[in-house]
Amino acid sequence: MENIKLFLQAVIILFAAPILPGIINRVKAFFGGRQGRNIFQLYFDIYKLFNKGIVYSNTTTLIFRIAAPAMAALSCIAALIMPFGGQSGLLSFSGDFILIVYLLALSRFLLIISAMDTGSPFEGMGASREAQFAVFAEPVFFMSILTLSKITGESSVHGIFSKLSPVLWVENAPVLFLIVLSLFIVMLCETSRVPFDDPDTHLELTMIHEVMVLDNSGPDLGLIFYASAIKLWILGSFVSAIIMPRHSEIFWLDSLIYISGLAIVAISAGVVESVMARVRLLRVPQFLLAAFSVAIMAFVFQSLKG
Amino acid sequence: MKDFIVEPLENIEVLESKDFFSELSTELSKGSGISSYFAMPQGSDFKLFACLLSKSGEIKIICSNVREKITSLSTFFPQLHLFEREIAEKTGLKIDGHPFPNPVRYENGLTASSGKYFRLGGDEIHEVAVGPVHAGVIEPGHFRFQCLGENVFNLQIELGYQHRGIENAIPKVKKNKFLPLIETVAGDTSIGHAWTFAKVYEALSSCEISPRAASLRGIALELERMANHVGDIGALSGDVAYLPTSSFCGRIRGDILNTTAILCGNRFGRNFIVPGGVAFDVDEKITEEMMSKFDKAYEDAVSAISLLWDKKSVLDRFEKTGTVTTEQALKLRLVGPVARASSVPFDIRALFHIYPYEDYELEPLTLNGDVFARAYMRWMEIKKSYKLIKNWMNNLPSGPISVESKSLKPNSLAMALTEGWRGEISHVCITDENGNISFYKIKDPSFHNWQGLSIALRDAKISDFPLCNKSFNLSYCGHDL
Amino acid sequence: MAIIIASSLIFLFAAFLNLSVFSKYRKVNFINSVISFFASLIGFGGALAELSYGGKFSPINNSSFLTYFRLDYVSCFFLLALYLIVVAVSIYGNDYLKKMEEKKQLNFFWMNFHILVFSMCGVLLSKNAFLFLLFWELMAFSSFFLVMTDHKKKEVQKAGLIYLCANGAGALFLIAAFSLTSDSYFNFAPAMSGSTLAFFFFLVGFGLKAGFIPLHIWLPEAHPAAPGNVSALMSGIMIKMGIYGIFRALSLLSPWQQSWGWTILLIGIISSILGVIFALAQHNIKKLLAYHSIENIGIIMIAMGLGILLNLKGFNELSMLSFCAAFLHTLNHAIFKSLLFMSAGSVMQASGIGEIDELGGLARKMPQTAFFFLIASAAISGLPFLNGFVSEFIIYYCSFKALSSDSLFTVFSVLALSITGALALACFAKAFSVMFLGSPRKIKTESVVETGKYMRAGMAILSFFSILIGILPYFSFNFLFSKFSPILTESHVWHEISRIFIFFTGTYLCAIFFFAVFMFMRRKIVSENRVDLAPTWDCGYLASSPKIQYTGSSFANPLIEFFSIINPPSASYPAIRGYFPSDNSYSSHPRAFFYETLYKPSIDKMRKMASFFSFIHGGNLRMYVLYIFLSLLALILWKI
Repeated sequence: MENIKLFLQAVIILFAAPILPGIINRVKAFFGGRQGRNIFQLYFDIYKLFNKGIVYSNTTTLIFRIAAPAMAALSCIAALIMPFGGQSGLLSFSGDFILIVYLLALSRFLLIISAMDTGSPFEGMGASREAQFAVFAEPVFFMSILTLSKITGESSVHGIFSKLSPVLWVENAPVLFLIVLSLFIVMLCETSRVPFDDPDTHLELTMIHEVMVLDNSGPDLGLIFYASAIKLWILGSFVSAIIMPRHSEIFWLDSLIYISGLAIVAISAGVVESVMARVRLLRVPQFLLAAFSVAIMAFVFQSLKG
Repeated sequence: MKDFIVEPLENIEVLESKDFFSELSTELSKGSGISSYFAMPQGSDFKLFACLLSKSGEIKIICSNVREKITSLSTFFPQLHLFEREIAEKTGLKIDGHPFPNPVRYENGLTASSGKYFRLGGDEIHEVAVGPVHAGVIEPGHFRFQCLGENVFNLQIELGYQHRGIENAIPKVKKNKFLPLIETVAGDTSIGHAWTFAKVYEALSSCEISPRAASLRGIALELERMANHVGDIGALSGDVAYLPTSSFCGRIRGDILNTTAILCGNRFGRNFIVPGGVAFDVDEKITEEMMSKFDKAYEDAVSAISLLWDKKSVLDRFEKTGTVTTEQALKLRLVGPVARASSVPFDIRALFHIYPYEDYELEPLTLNGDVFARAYMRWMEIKKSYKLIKNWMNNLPSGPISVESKSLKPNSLAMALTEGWRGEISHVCITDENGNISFYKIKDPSFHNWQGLSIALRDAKISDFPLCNKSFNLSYCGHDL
Repeated sequence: MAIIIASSLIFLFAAFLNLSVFSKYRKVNFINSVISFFASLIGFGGALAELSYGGKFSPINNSSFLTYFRLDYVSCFFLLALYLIVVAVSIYGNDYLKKMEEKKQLNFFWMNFHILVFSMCGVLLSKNAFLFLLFWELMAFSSFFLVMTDHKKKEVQKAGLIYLCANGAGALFLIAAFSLTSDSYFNFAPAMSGSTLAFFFFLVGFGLKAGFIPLHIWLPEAHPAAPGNVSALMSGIMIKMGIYGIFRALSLLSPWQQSWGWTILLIGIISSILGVIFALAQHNIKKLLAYHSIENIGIIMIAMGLGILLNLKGFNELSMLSFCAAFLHTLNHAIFKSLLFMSAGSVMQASGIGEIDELGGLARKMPQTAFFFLIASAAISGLPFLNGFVSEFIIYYCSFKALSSDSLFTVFSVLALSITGALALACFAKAFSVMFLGSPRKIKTESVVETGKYMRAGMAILSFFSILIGILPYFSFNFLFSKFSPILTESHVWHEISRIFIFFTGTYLCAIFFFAVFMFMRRKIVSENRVDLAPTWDCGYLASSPKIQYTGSSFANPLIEFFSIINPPSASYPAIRGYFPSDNSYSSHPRAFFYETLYKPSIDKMRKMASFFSFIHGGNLRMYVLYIFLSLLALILWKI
């Protein structure tokens, strides 16, 4: 039974991830008074891309050719370590979030060097910005996880998520609220959404993530879209777990709560994207530092409590 | 004062080369602006014409005969810079002392490698080359940045991809082809260019249009202005990813264009203006239809655009981005809302007060020439245009909508100015002894303003470039002709 | 132990041979590198054997020998690292030094090389302060001569001078420190009094060798100035002698104090963050690598500081695990830093250029060197699949496990590690991609060829170990550390870590499986004739130029500007004024911040003060006679 549940978890995560960007786009369309794209649009896009041929730039090397599948593989593995609906992921151990973060960092490293491989200034620009923002976003994430670890007394993701409960919220509401805020900001930054990047823009000079994959085509591009959806799932899970702490032991109910939590996170991201403008690139580190101070405040409150 | 001038060619004094350039310098130092500067082929020589517009609204035309070379005054008067390069390219004359003699439109067989790019030395500097094919569906143009990281040291703009040779074609085609060609100079300024052409034609044929025709022309021009400004503000907010305004403004622009369509059957106002008047009249029904559509569109625009000025995140993007100082605007002779946003109070409508703009005045605004100023300037103009249109529609004078046009004066030069939505449009027409057009010079306001964009990007961040570009929203095809 | 002593003696012998015999032979390089290779291989084997049998160190039946030398676990571990690096560097040196013309110079070089290795063995084996210092000084001098190989260049001379001064100053502090902690026979003994003072002296003395901030100023000068294999050796293992020394000092001075732990932790945090910030601004690849050595020494210090503080808080097993992390990171850093220096050396030799912004597109011509550099870059950024991640993970693990209300210092270590990890990733993504990927910037790659097979063999050995430790952390960690301390090995923490490492390997295999699946899917979908090659998207512009490509400085520029408060750059370019830009150029020079703001002013002040006393050197013979008379008088009076 356990194995079937694990298998089911893996299947759901790997196949449900592309819905999240669809939800965000529908929310944006709603705010814009339009009907908007199909909620399953990303699936159709990936399918379409997988049926195309590939054009490689003749400046690129082997690295460019293996980067996209490698990124998708790493993201998938990181997602499988994440717990799902009260169950642990495929693996659970102390400090597994470090492995998740660093697997995503390796994926980012591959993306950056494959972007620089093309020798195009646009992709170099995107690579430089991506590398820069990671410097500020990672400490925020670690700080938030440290605080969560302190509150729950656990040091693995599954442990932390299972200890979260409405009772914990009652006791630690301000701290948890601050952590949700900082994790939400980190999620928006790492997945290149407004206010850090506009995923719908066509202006290469302002892009961060999309411009790095300007020269990818066909199945490679499809894999990269898929990898970004999975990354959104992973980072959204952290927020979702805190705002919808599961408290029943039933697998189906917990899974439903978890998925609806993710949907709520996606909807919030869509709302933010509809009502906020994108900040100047110069201000992004300051924005992330603000998130960092929010996370530190949370930690300090928690320490003062005892 | 009139916003056009028509003179027989022999009345324009032909100065000596030396005197010509010293006269030009004197006029420019007094604060006049160069409205058109070109060389007309004349046998084996060329006749150099300079059309100046003084601050008080006086149009002055000087000319000289030149053979092989002309002196460049661009180092002292940067506003002449593109004109001189254009002359050199079209005629093959040498420009002595021009600081940056690059081709303008790459005509006559010049290729991409004929131009040179300013390159900042050093191994750490990289160049970014954007265009001509852009990621969005916009006009082709090449932008070359010298950058270090996100900082732009210099932007060089190279256009010419849409050169169609309109100026060369006009003298060669039949009369009925004039307007279609003129209206394609810049598709979104069809009415502006058509009106300027009509003014030139009417001046050459000594024809007075009726007040009703003038009012209708004014309505069309202001509708064009409003539609483009609303579209621009929508595009600006789209660039900063502020969806409320950008989604709505796109639609509202469409509504305003549809109002123009009700007026003349074409959303961009083609075939509306003819020499002698306008081609279509309005009656009660049409007026009512237009007004209801138009009022609704304006209301929507007000509610959508007012959101922008209260939104801190948007203002943070707009303010202090891409600043063009008043001094730079004056030196480069920027025109239109761009210039007014840098606190240069120059507007053809306010300068000449030609019917139907007799009461038109500029507000004394002090704006500091950043993206916010240019956006806000557009907003002010939208409100003004609305008032003007309502006023004219409710008080249309009766009368004919066009008068018979006569033949053109022979051997004459005529020049007319109009405030298109981008700025000052000027056309110069020279007729031969038979009264046919022998030479036609078109100047779209973008011809001045592209240099403003280059200057605005100095020491700016490259990610602000699309925003600056949109805030100028210049015409690529108007520049390329 | 016998094996190790034997191998180190081979080195000594080879050194002397160089002086005398080898000048006759033509293939000096080859012979020396062969000897070095085999000797270090023997030593490596010996160290492996000692580590795996553990506890059964074969003593030599000579008690007096044992008084002065001993081989315990820590020495053995460091010897393992030492010999591994020397194995790789020896083979590498075969090709690398072919460019050196004079044979006499080669002899001298190899002599110093062998003496350096010998002296490092001596340092690691000594139990006696006097012998320790003797070998320490020998190490300093031989490395000084190695650094000065290209002594005709001005910057090399300056580098050598600073290095010599740093060594001298370090030696002085060590003498002071040992005087407080040894008995009359100079044997190591617990401090009699003032153990904090001794700790301070040890810290400064060994710090000048390890190169943490603010004692690092010689590192960015000496490492670029030295030839490639020397930099690899120095950065890889010689600066770790400082770490070894600090650990020995800690074992001599007990009980440990809170302040020591905090000092080491803070020094570690500052070194790691500042080191990588300085590295970001560098244009020269070797200087960049030198600053990264400072960063990694900082990480090792963080681990050690954490170990001390955890011990004082009572987390004994976690404390020992932290020290394991420190040692493992020492070994890891030795591996990937030497690998980086070696591949940088190949690039510099093949292209003749050391400035990152002038290179580009080298991966086509030097694919294997590019591969090795990529492995090392990913390893130094602490990315999974490679060895850097293992040691950093252990530090994170200890920090998270110990997180309770009175051990807030773990927050600092976690934050410092995450910041430096992200910055190192940015820096090495830049270095690797600008040097090897894209199109060539200023260099002409037609004449560039792949490096010789010996150089590649050396790099391959280190890459192999990097990947081995990375992918099979369970076996590596068990092998290396199970004999460190029995308490640790029996503890719950050890079991948990071992379990985690097995999970790592499992995760990596799953990831490789997924990767294979995706690659297979892609291949099935896209048959060969649907893959096209086209130029990189250039927006349809027909006349491209090699400048239209991102440079390394542009890549790092936003980060440099953000941190410019700490590390203000100095750029020279007249700003473009006027409407028509005229010829202009931009260049920036990363400043040696500490040297210029701290050391140089104080050195200048000291010089001024010294010159104030220059009147003493009157030059007058009678004055000197007077001095002699006065000092004799003073002595007589004192005796009375």
